[in-house]
Amino acid sequence: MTDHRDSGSDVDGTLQHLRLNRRDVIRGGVGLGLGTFLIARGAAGAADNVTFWYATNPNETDYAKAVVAAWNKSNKPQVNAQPVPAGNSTEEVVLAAIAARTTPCALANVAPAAVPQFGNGLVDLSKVKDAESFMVARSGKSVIDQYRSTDGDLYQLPWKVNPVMVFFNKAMWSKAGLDAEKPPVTYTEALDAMGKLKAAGITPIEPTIDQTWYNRWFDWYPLYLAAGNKLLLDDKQSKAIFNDAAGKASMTFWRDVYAKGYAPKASWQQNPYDAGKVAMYIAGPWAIPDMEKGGVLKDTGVMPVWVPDDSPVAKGGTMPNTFADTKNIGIFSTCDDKDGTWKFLEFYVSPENDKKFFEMTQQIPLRQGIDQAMGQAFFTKNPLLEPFAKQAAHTLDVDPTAKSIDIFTAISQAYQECAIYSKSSVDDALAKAEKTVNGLVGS
Amino acid sequence: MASEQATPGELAIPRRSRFRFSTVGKHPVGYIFVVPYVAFFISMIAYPLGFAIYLSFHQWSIVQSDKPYVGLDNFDRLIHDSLFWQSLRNTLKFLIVNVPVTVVVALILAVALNRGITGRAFFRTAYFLPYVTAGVVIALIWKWMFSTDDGFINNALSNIGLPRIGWLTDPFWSMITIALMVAWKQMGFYVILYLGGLQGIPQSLYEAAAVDGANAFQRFITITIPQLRPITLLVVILSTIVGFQLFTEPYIMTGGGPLNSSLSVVLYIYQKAFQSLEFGYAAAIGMVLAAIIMITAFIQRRFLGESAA
Amino acid sequence: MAELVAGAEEQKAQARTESRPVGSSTRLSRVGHIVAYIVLLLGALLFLFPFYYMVVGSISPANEVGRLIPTRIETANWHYMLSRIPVGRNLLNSAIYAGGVIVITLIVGSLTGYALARLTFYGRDFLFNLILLTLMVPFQLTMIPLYIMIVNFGWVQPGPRIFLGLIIPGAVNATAVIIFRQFFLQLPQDLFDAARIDGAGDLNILWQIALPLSAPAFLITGLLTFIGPWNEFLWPLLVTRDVNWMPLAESVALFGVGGQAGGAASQWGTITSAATILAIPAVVIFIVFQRYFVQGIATTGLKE
Repeated sequence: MTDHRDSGSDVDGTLQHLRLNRRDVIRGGVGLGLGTFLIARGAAGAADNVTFWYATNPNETDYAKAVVAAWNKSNKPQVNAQPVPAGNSTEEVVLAAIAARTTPCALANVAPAAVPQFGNGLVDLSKVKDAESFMVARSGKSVIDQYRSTDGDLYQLPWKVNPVMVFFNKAMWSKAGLDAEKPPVTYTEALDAMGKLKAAGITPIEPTIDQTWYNRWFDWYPLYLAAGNKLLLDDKQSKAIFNDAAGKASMTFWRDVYAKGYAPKASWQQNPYDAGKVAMYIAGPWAIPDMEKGGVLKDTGVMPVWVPDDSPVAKGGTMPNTFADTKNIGIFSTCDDKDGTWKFLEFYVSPENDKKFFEMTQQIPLRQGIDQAMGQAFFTKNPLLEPFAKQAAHTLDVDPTAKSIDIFTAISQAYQECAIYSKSSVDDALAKAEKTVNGLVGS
Repeated sequence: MASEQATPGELAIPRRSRFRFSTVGKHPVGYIFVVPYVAFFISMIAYPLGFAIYLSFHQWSIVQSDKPYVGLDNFDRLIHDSLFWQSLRNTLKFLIVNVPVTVVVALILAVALNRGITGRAFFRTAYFLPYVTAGVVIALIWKWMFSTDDGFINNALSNIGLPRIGWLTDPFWSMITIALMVAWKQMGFYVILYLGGLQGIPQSLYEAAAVDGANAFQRFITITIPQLRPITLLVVILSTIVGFQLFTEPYIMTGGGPLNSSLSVVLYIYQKAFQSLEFGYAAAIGMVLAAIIMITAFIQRRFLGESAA
Repeated sequence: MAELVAGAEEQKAQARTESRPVGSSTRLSRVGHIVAYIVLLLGALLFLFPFYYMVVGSISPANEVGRLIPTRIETANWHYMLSRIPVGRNLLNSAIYAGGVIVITLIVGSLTGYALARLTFYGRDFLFNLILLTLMVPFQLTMIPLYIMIVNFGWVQPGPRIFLGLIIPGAVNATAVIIFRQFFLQLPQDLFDAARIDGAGDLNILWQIALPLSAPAFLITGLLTFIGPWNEFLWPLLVTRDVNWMPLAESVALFGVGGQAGGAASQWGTITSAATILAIPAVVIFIVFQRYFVQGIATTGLKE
C-alpha cells in the first residue's frame, strides 16, 4: 500500500489510476440496458399459463409437482405451479395478492376460516358449470353443505381434513413406566403421564410458543373443541362464547403444563418429536411422513386430544371432538381462464389423484368411500392412519367469519399471557380476549 | 481543497454561491442537470408523502371501493391502541440497549484499530462483513444460534453449567437479543466512522496533554471523546434511525413475539397494512413514526451537538 | 475526513506511535498494544464466527449440523435447497434489480451532484437542503403510498414490469448525490476555469473534464448503492410474490421462514445453505473493493 497523504484529496489520490473512458461508459451502458431488456423479454414468455399455488409442506410439494407434471403432459391450459410464497402465513400473502390483484388462478391451501376474509377475491364455484355437482358427487352433500358461504354458494372446493390428535413415543412411554396401550384421556391423566415422563428425564411435550395466530390450532383450540363441542362464536357470529367452563378448563390445563415445566418455552425450526427428543406431539396426519424420515415412526402411537375430568368422553365409548384443520382449494377472480382452471382442479382431486394424495401426504381427502378405495392393505401398512380416519368423523372447524385471523390473534395473546408466561390469570386473560373478540364481531 | 472540508459539521451547510448576480444564477443549465432528480423527488418522495397524509385521514382499504374520510379517527384510534404503544415501548427498549452498545464497542474497536497495528485491513474487513451482508442472512443465522433448544449459544452456556436463556422466546430477552444482534450487524460501519474521526484529531493536542502529565486514560477522556463528539452524534442519530426502522429481524426471527415483545413499529405498520388491509390506519402510524424520528433526531442534535460546538 | 486514506492509515498511525512524546513510556505502550490486539482478536472472532458457523452448517451431514467441525463434508443440504429455490433465476433478478438501481443512481446522482457543486443557479442551496431533508423521511412512511401507486401502474404483475416496481421507487438516494457533490467540490477549480476560457460549454465540461476524473466517485457510490437493493427484503416482499420474479434475498427469506425447508433432512443445514448463497456475492464484492467501501463511508460521514 502506498501513502497518498500528499495528494490533496484522498479520493482522487488513491484512485487516480482509474480513468473512465467515455466510450467504455457508453458501451457498458448500452450493453447493460440491452441485456436487461432481452433478459426481461425472454423471461416474459409465460403469459397465458394458469398459476397454481400449493402448500409449502414438502410432501404436498412433491405431490403437487407430480400431478401438475402429469397434467401438463397432455392438457391445456398449462399449469405453472409454485409453493405459496408465504412468510409467516398463507393468509398474509393472499391478502396482499388480492390487494395487488396478483392472486394466482388457484390456491390449494385455503383455510375455511379465511374464505370470508378473501371476500370477492374468490370465484363463486357454484356458478362454474357442473362444479357443484362434481363436489357433491366427490364428498357427499352433507360435507359440502358445511362449506357454503352465507349466500348459500360455494367459494371453495372442500379438499382434505387433518384431524388433530396427539402422537406419542411408545418407547419413551415404557421407559417412564407408562402403559402405551392405555394412553391418558383426561387432563389429570395427561398431567400425570407428563409428570412421570419428566421424572424419567424425558421432555413430555413441546408445542411451539410462536405467537402467530394459527399455532393455537395445535395446542389450545383442539382441547377447547373437545371440552366444549362448539366453536368460538355463537351461531350468528356476533358474540364470543369461549369464556366459559370449556375455555377455562382447556386454558388451565395448558397453564398447568407450562407451570409444572412439562413443556419448554421454545419455538423450533426442526420438529423435536421427529428427532426423538420429546415424547408427545399434537398435529394432524400430515406429520407422519416426517416421523418416518426422523426414524421415530416405528415407536409412535396416537391418541385423541385430552378432555376435562368431568367430560362424558372420560367414561369411555366415544371419541372427543377435535380440530378438523380442513384445507380447501379456491379459484381467484383475477384468473383469466377460470373454466380451464376448474378442469385442472377436477384432475387434481380425481379419484386416482386423491388416492395418490392420501398415500404421499397421509392427509385425508374429503372423498366419499376413500377408506374402501385405499383398501385394508393401505391401513395395515399405515396403522396410524386408522385412528385418524375414525377421528375425521368427530371434528369441528372454525367460525365462518372474516375476522377469524384477528380472533385467533386475540386468543393467542390470551394463551401466551396466562398459559405460557403466567402473566395474568386464566379468568382475566379469557375475559380480555372475549372483550376484544366481541369488539371485532360487533357486539 | 481538502483543508476546506476539515470538519464534518461545516459541510451540512451548503456554501453560499460566490457569484450570484442574476435571478437565475450564473449557470441556468444547472436546472437541466437537476431535472431528473427533481422529477424523482416529486414523484417518489413528495407525492407519496402527500398521499400518506391523505391516507391517514381516510379509512382506506385497497380492496374496497368505499374509502370514506374519517377525519382524525385513525389518530384517535392510535392513541388508544395498546399494541401501538407496546411497539413504541419495544423500540425504546431496543434503543436503550442498542445505541450505548454500538457507541461503546465501536469506539473501543476503533481506538484499538487506530494503534497502528499490523493486520488492520483484516480486522477492518472482519468487522465490516456483517454490514454488507443481507439482513435476511444475519437474521437467519442468529435465529439458529439463539434458538432456545439447540442453539449454539445455549448449548455453550449449558456446557459450562449455566442455564439456557430464552433469547428469542422469553418476552424479557427477545428485544434485547435483537438489539444486540443489530448492533453487531451495524458495528463495522460505525467503527469506520470513528476511525475517520480519530485520524482527524490533531496529534498536537495529545502531545500538549502529555507534556502536562496526563496519562493515556486522561488523554482519552479529555481529548479523544470530546473531539469525537460530532461522530458520536452521527452514530447515535444513525443507529436510532435504524432502531425506529426495524423490520426484517423481528419479522424473520420472532414474528413480533412472544407476547408482542419484539413487535417493532414498522412490523406493526406492515401487519396493519398487509394483513388487515387497513392502509389508512397504517399510514397514520407511519406519520407518527416519522414525526417521532424527526423529533428524536432533533433532540439528539441539540443535546449532543450544541454542547460540542 | 480528508485525512482518511485507506492505504495510508497504517503508515500514518505507525509514524504516530513511533513519534510518541517522551511522556508516554514504551512499556506502557507495549501493554496497550497487547490489550488492543486482544480486543481486536476477540472482536474479529465475534464478527466472523457466525459466518463460519453458517458455512460449516450448510456442508455438514444432517446429523452433525450445528457442530463446529463436522467429521465429513456433505452437499445434501445444498442439493435440497437448489431443488426448492430457483437460485439462478433469483440471482439474475437480484442482479437486474441492483444493476438498475445503481445505473439510475449514478446517472441522476452525478448530474445533480455536479450541478450542486459546480454550477451556480438560483434555488441551488434550497435544493441541497431539501436533499439533506429527504434523508430524514423514513421509507416506511412513503412505503404504503408507493405500494398503492405501483399497484395502480400495474408494476406488481408478474413479468418484466416487476423490475420497474422494484427499481424506480428506490432508484435515487440522497447519499449518492451528497457523495458526488462532495467529490466534484474537491476537483481543482483551475481545470474548470481553463476549460471555460477555451470556450467549453457546461455539458462539455462535465463530459470531458469532470466525468473522466470521477471514476472513483462512481465506483464508491456504485458499491455503496449495491448493498441496498441486493439485501433489501421488505420492498420486494411487497412488490412480488412470484418466485420467478423475486430477488434472491426475498426467496431466501421466504425459504427460511415459510416452511419450505421442512422436508430436508436438516432444516438448519438447508437454510444456512440458502443464506450462504445470498451472502457470497456481497461478501466477495466487499472484499475485493473494501478500500473503496471504507472511503465511501468516510465520505457519507460528512453529510452531517
